[in-house]
Amino acid sequence: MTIAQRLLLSFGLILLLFGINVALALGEQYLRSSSVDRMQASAADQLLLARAEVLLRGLDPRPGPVSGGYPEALDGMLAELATSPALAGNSDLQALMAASKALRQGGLETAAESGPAADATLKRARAHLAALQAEQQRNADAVVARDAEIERLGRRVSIANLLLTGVLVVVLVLHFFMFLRRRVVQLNSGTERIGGGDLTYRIPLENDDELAEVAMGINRMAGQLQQAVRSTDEARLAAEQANQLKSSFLANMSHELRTPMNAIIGYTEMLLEDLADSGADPESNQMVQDLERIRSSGKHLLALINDILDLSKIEAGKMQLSLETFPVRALLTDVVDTVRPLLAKNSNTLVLRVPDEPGSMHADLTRLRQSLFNLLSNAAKFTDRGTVTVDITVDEDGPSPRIRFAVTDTGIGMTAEQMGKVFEDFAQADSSTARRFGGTGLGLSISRRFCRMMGGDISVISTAGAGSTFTIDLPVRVNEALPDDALPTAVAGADSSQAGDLVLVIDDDAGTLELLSRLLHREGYRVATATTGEEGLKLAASLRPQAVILDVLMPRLDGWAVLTALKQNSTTQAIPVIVVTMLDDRDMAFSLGAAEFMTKPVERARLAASLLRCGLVPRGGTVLLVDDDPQSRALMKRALADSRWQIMEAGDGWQAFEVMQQRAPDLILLDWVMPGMGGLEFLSRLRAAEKNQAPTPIIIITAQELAGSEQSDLDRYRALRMSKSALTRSTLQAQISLALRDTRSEARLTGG
Amino acid sequence: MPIILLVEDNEMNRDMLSRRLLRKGFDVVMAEDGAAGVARATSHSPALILMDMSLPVIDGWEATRRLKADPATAGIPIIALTAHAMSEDRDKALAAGCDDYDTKPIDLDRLLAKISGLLGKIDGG
Repeated sequence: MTIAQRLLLSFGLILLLFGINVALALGEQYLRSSSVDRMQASAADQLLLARAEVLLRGLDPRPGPVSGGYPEALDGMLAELATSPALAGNSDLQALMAASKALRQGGLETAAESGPAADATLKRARAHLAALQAEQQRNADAVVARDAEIERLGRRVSIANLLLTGVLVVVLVLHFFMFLRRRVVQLNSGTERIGGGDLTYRIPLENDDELAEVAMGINRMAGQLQQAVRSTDEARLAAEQANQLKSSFLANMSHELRTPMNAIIGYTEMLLEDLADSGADPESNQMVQDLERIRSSGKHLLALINDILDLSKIEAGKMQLSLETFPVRALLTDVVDTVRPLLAKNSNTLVLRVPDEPGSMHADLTRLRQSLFNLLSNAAKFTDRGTVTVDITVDEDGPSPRIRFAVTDTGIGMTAEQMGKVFEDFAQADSSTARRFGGTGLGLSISRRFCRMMGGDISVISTAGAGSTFTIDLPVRVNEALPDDALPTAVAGADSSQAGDLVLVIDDDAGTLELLSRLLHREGYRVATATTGEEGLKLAASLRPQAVILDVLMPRLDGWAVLTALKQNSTTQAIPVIVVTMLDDRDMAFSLGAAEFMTKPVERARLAASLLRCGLVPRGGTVLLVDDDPQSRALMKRALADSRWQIMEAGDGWQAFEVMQQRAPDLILLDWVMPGMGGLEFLSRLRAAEKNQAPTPIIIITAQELAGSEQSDLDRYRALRMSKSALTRSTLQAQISLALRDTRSEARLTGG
Repeated sequence: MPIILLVEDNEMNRDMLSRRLLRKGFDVVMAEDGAAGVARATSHSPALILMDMSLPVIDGWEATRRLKADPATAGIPIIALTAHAMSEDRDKALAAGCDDYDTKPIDLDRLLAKISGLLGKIDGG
């Protein structure tokens, strides 16, 4: 049944009831009017009877002349009475009429003779009249009684009818409401499930109504989406297969190339050995120099082939990490020894800045050595009579310590444009440098891939003419399982109620996307990714993420253009944007409306702090409410409703410390006046305990104004204040972002 | 002087490597395919075999398996030489019974170190 039919049916039922009501009212009306008629008739009868009595009383059948003669009017009255429905056929009336007739016909003139007979007739007539009057009185009483009965019955019927109508209307409305609600809930959960990525799900079609049509539409859409996803998957699979084919082709080709290379280099070396045996002077002998050129070109070609093979192996997914634990210092010594001749060639000075105890790390030694060697040999190549610095730092903070190898040179440096391309395959800063400095143009690209396979990255900062810094950032302990993690492509984490806020990452580099996604997942956020600016803008508008992480250097639509577009669109302009780039474009980013700015490589702790400053809440973000009044806590909870904060509660400062033993909150909302330990004491104790850590963001919630000294206490303890009366969802949210921002940046300033 | 059997189908590489080995004082016997390699290993009893892996008739892996299966030749150390630089090629060669592995193009010093290592092991054992 369609909803329209349902509505019509309900309307019909209500109309029917209304009709019954009207009919009943009409019936009652009719009964009432007929009873009035009867009462009128009864009154008329009574009047006639009274008059008849008067007339009858006037008759005196005594001998002698009749004073007025027989009253003709009596007959007329009796005839009229005979037409009254109440008295028609009444035996007394018949008798009375007969008596009257006898009296008139007999003539009262003759009654003198028949005086006693007439007298008897008259008496009889009077008796009948009295009987008639009594009858009429009974009739009148019956009419009144019936009228009262009708009245009572009518009232009952209307009340019953009214009740019935009311109940029916309520039942119909309830039924309709429940029906609609169930269907809409069904539709809603269906769309959420499909929207969450379960494209095989179909909303069940229970009825054949308008909502079923909507459901069918959604199902059709899901089907088409599924089709589209399937064909995309197929296309991707085909592309992957093609890529695999390409890789195995490259591997084979590299084999075919190596065989003749073997002969070229081998024979050249033989000739060089011959010449050396015959005592030729390598400095002056032209043939020795020519052979050396052949050999070095051969070796260069071989290096290219090896690099291509490495790349094809990485792309074919055949490159496997071979992880081992080794001392960092030994690695450095090894690489530096290898690169020293190259440094000497351009008269460069090498400076090493290594911590006293760099310790060991667990990684692929060969790949890391190759990457470090690559950075150092690049630095040596592109610097002439300058300084090459290797700076090793170990960052023990956070759950997974990281190690950074920064290689800084005072060489030719790069422009912003060159920096954007430096990690691309076969991309050297420009073709002339290739001629001047040699190199395959694959080293950095391969090194970066190695580092990413190990869960790290290589980044660069450079100024044209002043030099460059390349930094390898790796976990101290590389996790074997890392490279196998699936790359989240759509929104990861279907259960949105459990997961944290949604972050959209826009970056053209798949490796960076993967890295950031992984970092964000670990922080408890949900992640959506886009590989182009256009896609990013679309997703930002449709998904409305709580924050956007934006790369600047992207082909076609670059990060600045994306940022500008995001800030111009009313649906996306409120979303905080974190600009992540290799260049130091802080001012540009902030002038275009970025909320945060970060240089690559992105560190987990910095990213997490940025997101918190933007007011985001990861899964498991906890807020501690400290207030002795349960009603005040309820008020705070209401203001926090719908946010993803997990709430902990404490009745005073002591309790708060107990709660914090179990779990350190990310934010504290604190009452100022409490029995036991009050707000000020709690604040001073907490800050004293936190001396060497980032201060927990705190918002004091008070009903009263604070004295000047108390306000300065708040400033000293880096706590914000808000008035209890102003506690609404939006004001609290604003204050929370402010508190997160304040304390974190403060911590950075004092701690950094 | 120890005899080295060089099994290599590429004529130029065979010529080049044999001459370089001769200069280093080895006697060199050559074979141009896997079957010939197995035959010469039996007839010449070399001290060591350098085995290319991509060979006609029977390939290097199969030749190695046959040599290691025959008690007469099982004791001869074999160094696999291949232009495939994939690590699974190394594993495949070692699984076939090769004692060591080197990639082309040959770095002569590196190869000589491996040869003397294997010969020394035999002398010592």
